[in-house]
Amino acid sequence: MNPQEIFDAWKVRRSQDDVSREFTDRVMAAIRRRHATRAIGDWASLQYLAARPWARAAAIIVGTLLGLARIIATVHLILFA
Amino acid sequence: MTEEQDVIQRVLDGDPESFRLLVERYAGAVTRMIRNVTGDRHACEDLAQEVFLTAYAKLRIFDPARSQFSTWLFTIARHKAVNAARRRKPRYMADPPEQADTRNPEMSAERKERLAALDRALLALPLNQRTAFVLAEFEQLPYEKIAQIEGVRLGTIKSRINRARVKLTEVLRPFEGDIP
Repeated sequence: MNPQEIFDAWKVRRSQDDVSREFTDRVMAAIRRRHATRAIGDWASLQYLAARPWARAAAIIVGTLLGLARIIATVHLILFA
Repeated sequence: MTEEQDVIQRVLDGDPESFRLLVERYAGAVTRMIRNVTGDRHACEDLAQEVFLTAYAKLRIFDPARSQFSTWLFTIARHKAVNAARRRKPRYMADPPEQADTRNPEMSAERKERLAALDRALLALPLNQRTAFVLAEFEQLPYEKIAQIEGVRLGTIKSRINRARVKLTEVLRPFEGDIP
């Protein structure tokens, strides 16, 4: 075999697929696990914040400030537009 | 809208199972590319899984106007493969033994030796030449696409692939004339 034939044979061998049959199932299972963990994580963090008075007070303050800002923006729009 | 974009849209609309189509389509190519860059037959599937999980997590930021999905996926795969190759010393993982040529065992052994020499030479290439060569020769990607994946100009890619090819063919020079 000449070097070119060897080189071509090597390329063919290196281009072969050898991914396991269950690979796709493993990836999809990991995606489902990630979804479940994220959902549990979101719910758990919400519960954690709801159980703390300081977190509830902070949420009320942030909400109030956002509401005030929105009112000011609307008034500004009406008066100066 | 292409079929792939349609699948991506379905995933983004809350149907994660549609992602299976993309995994099935690209699993072989991504795993093979990682195996050829890292030289690690055993870890390549774990890395390929990471590639698909990253793609899934970042699917919202994929912009079909800027690149094809396969280009974007190979960019993630290249990044992970290069990081893995940098972390661990490249090891030479021999492929499963080929069926021996019983008619001419000497030729079969020579052939194996040459293939192994090429395997070692591939892993000895600098990473930027190795990834460009793997994408061009084993994945048969066009140079423009490789330039996009590597984030460099087309001329740079051509030069890297050419240099890699020269180094690899030099490996076979000592064997020239050994076998008729």
